[in-house]
Amino acid sequence: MLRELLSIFRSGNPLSAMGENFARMLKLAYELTDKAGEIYFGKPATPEERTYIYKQDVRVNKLERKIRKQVVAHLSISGNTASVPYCLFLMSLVKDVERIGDYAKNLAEVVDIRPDPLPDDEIVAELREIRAGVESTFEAASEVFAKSDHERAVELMSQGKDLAHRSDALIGIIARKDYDASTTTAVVLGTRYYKRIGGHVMNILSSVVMPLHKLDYYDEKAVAADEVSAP
Amino acid sequence: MTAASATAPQPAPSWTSHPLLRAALVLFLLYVFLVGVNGLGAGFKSLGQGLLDSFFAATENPFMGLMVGILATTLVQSSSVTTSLIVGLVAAPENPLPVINAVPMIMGANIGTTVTNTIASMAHMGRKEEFRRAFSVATCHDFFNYISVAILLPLELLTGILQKSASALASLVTGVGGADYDSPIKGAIKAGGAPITTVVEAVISLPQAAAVILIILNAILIFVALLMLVKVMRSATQTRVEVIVSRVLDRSVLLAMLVGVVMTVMVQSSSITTSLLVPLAGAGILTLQRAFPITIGANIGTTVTALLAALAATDENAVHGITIALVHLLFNLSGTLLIFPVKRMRELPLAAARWLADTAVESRKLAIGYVVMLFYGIPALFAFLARFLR
Repeated sequence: MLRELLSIFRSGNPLSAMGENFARMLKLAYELTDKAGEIYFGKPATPEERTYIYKQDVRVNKLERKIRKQVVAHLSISGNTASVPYCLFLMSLVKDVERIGDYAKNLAEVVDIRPDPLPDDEIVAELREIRAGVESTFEAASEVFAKSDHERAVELMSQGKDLAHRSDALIGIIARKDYDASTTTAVVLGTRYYKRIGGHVMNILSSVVMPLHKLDYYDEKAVAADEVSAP
Repeated sequence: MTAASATAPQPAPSWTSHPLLRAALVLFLLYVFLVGVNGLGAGFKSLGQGLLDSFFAATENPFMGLMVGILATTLVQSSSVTTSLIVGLVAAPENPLPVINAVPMIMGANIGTTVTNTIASMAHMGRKEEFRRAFSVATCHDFFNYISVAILLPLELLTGILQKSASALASLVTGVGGADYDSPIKGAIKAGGAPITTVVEAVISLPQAAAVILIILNAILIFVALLMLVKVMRSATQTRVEVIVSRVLDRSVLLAMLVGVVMTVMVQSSSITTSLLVPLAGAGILTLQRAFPITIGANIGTTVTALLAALAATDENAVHGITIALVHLLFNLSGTLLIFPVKRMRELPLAAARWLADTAVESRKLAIGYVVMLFYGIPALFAFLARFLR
């Protein structure tokens, strides 16, 4: 009992604890996205691997609630006004990561609609490239956020914007392709999910370069002109 | 906030952030507090027995003592100040306040201290559900103390059990066999208070006027020292409180209670501990069931201030000071043992708090009326009537 009591009173900085939980949440969501991508692109998944996807999503959701709880507890204690922007950032960003988890889970579920492998053509090749781009941006996002690496964030967001354009263009190409219904559905959903995952990763990166009130609204020109705090 | 501040911000350091400086400041404030308690006794000694008897005559009625305890605590918003003053009065050389009269006052102080978190809960009035949660957590403390007093005050009047037990414990602490109790820091405390007494007596020639000024100055010393002590300790523990509370949420009830005790001993104020629970309850992080043991722990932890104050007593009635401080501790421990272990008893304050919160949500005027009447109106009315009925 005494040891337990002492461990409670040997508590660290609550803001650091929130940051650590957010980093853990990003890592889990990245691993989930990676695994879901493998399943989507045809790697045979064992029942354990399918269960892993759901369990990982549950862990991401639990961390979202945990961070929100930490934020509310922190802000409820008076005198914490200096950390309000950081807390509000986290409150918004955990939603982005939670959405990534959901899209990744949905991506893994596409094989239930079309169990056969995706066609080996230029459309799926382009989608594989989009996947690689989104995953590499996502992998870097955690470190960029933790280090507040402004330069790298801008660079990755530029890549992310390009990936989003490529996803939109790919939808147009799929629309003109003579795929059967299940193939069209599977490829369109995959393209759409990767675009959304990329979009939420962009939101996380935008928190490094944009002020709180402009979170999710990345303005490249304003960032270049260092006018991000304009109204 | 842009790149540089996207990482977790660190709290700005203040000059009290250095552990050694903070420890020195806490020791200094404790010293000032003890000097104040000791000086209070000296002031009452100079006032003269006749004046003291008439001044404290009203407290001979235990109900009035209870009301005085409630009113005094609600007015200064600190049971630590009231109980320290009571210890100072009981331990004063002329014994202006006998232990038997002080017991109901201590119980009243316990009730009075609950007003702070009840007032804090009113900040949530704008949102019904938040207010319901916050108000019920705040008032479970009130109801716990009402029930404790309703059981223990009549029992004490009939048997004197608290006073007898406290006396027995006090004689154990101060030496069995009637040996004189000598405060371990007697010399240092007397030396600290001497310049104040010398200056006041040199400036004011009328002995009774000098005594009144001494009493006021020492009461101010107690108040300011406690206020600053709470402030320093709170700033030292603030960053930990939320982590401590959130860590205790999924632990055992006994651990939650211990956390309440330790947190309150650290900040020297049960009001601080219980008021911190209110916004967390309002936000839905802390449930009534979880907040209750922490609150009970805070109730026990707050008795440490009176025990500290008893250290300042250096004269022939010092043992009485320790006795009343122990009465405070025993009262809160007995209340906890009577109410907490039995589920049906434990449910009483919680059910009452829930009912009051449900009612207050429907009529917010009632919530304000509850605070005004129970903590200020009724005690003030009885104090007023006592003047005319004496």
